[in-house]
Amino acid sequence: MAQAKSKKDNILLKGAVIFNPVLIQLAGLCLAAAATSDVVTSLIFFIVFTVDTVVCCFLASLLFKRLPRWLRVALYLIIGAGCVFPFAFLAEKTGISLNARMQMYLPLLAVNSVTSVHCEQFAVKNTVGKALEDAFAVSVGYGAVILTLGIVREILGNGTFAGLDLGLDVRLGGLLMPFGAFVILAYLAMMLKWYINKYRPEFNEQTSVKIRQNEKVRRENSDETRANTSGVGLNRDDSITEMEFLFGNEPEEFEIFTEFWSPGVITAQDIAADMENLSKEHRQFSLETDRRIEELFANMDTGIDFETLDTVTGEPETEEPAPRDFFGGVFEDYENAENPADNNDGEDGE
Amino acid sequence: MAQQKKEKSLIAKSQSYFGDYLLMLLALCVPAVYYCGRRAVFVLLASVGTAVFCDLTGGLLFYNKILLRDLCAVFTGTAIALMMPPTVPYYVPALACVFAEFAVKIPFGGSMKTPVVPAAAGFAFACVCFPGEVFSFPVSGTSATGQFVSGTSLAGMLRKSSSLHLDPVSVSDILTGSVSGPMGTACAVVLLGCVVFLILRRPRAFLSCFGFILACSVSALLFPRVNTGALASLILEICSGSLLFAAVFFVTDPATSPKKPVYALLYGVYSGILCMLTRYFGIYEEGVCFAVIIANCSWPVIQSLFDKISRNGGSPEKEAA
Amino acid sequence: MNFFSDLMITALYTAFFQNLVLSFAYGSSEAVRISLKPRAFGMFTAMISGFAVISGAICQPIDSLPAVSALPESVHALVYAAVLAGVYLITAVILKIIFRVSDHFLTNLGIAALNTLVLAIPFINRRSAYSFAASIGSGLGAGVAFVVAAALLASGVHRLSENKEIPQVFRGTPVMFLYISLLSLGFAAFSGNSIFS
Repeated sequence: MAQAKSKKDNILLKGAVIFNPVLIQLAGLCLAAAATSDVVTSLIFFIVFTVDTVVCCFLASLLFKRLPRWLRVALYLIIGAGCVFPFAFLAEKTGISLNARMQMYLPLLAVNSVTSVHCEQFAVKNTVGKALEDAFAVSVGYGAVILTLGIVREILGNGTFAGLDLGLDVRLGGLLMPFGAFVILAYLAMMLKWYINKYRPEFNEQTSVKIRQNEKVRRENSDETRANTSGVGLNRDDSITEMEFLFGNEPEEFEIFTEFWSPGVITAQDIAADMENLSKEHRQFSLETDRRIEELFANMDTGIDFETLDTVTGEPETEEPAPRDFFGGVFEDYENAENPADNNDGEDGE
Repeated sequence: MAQQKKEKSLIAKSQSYFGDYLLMLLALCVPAVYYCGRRAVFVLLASVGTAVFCDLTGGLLFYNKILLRDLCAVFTGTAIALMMPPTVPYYVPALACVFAEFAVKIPFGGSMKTPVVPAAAGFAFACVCFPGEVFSFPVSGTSATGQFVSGTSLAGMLRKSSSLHLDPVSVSDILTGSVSGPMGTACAVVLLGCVVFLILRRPRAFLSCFGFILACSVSALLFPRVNTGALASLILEICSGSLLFAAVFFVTDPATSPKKPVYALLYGVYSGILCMLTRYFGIYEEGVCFAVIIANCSWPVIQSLFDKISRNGGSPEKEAA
Repeated sequence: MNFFSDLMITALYTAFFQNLVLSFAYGSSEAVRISLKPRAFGMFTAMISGFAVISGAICQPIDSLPAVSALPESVHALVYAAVLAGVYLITAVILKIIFRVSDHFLTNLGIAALNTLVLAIPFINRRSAYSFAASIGSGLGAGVAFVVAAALLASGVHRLSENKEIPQVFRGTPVMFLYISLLSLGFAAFSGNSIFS
């Protein structure tokens, strides 16, 4: 009994705090940043969001398990629109004054990414009870953030609380803009990170945003580990030094839903196993690279010089599929570009 | 050990840069105090004091050390104060400094690692939060007496009227800063002196400054906002607002401007174009700080495009070399 | 000629001067996530532009019907959601049956179609009383705004990844939020805070 309660608490704690949908998973940012400029609006959004998430997760868990995923995402929109409509209609009919911002952003709750992510990652893979628990936890986490934003922004930006004038002379109107919300979100995320670092260090790794290291950092790292590696020190294991559960890193990957944390579905063991597989792949890649370089060294007498070594060591990069980005590979190039801050190193003559 | 050495080198570099910049800012403080009187001193004190305090607390809180030695906080405080009108309430530059320190400098790893110029971000924050206070300028000469008479700055005139002649505002007044405008950015003569100082002390930084002024000048000549001649447009655009000030102090920022001379020049031109775009299409009468922020954030993308073009254009032998 | 000038002006205005992602935070979650995966830029942006243009182009004539334009705002929201869902489902079925694309691709198509940026376009078109050409321009502009935002964020992310001086507590999402806020502040020069205050 106690164990079950602890497990339930665990789901609540993880869903609402540790893996907070906004502060950690970076989902639902549009509404959090743009629409939460006062307490009442935030409260209404919280209520509508909770209803939407609970209904979507409940139906997803109960009915949608056998449907293909691409069909389910459209159903979440339809259900979301159905959930939001009564609130918007009621507000209009009862004369509750909806400000322009709310009229614009309230319907957008139907397509909020938090609901879709949790329906997809948890609800359709679990029982109705667990799906509802998760929906509740996520709603609490999301609600806590948007209510905090609403309170802080209304007090500092408008000098009011729930419409009551607090008599503050200084009003930071800029905080009502999305950029103000992002600053507050940054400090909320900072506090959450501090809490995780201090009291929940076991989640420290999992709650970090990880991105692919660029070639420059990779080379620096490989320089540091050169002594321990065979060949000439190219260590492909450095290409992903940190776990990337959140945003994925596979070259061919174009997947967003599965990258999110989902309580009970992806365990620490799963992640560790994934990491091990990744390491194996990279080790294999490293060995292959070393073999090629050794071959080149063996052929040095036939005309290959050290000048071209950089080009040679960079060659395995082409084994990965070429980026299909809009700028035709500009970001791969950017990875090789110097950091502007470092550009000034050694600036002489001034 | 290596880390400590690197840190010391960063601080020394930062001190060297900001030391020079502070010297130039001090020169600008003279006309500010001359035209605006005690009020200018108080605004400067409020701004620099807040920046220093935030830097101290931020450094101790997040780095467990004192960051003040890099002089960036003093620079940020002074620069923000000099861009304000003398009538501004003290809390406006103070809050701008809080933003510059706690939203830009401290979280991003200090003065040499910030992605945007903290002072520009602080001033932009003040523009967005307190547009009324930041853009209401007294008539020149009335500030020193303590009796402020509301006036219109050159940038404001440019925004409101297309039939602005140079006659009502004489060129000598514009050059000496005896016009309605920000405290420390209106005196074009001192700013031109700063440009000369920049040429002598930091020629590469000057390239960015030159590119910026060049782009703004060309834009002013090609797309004048006044219909009283190209020369009037050129003088009014360059000398109004904080354009020259930003050209000297923000576009040449060591952390955000590129090192290679060609890129430094191109970066200046790019920032200048953005600056004129914010003037033409922006909603504030002075958009140079917003332009600097956009340029700081977007330059790496532009530079990577240039890199790509130059690599594709070069021969394989050259690339290998 | 008017058609194209309307279209281009609205597209430029939506993309740069009123950047929907950075100034108004529409689709910011998707922009942040895509910025961490630059390889997906092209496809994702094309999908977003496509859906924004199509939904805008369908909703604009519907809105101009007298019977529909008199309906309350909340009903319009339902209509837009239904149109978007319909467009997505039809596209998905066509791609599935004719082009036999994978379910994986279709899932991503869903993410590109069903987000706040795409759903906001018909609302913006209605509120701004855009013509048909301007509606299409606003859809195209939304796509460009998205790629501008994602590209700027991607370059920022790389700079942040190289920055070893960032304090421990700010690493990760806090510093990303601050970077987005600075970008958003930069674009505030064109949009101001009139609609938010």
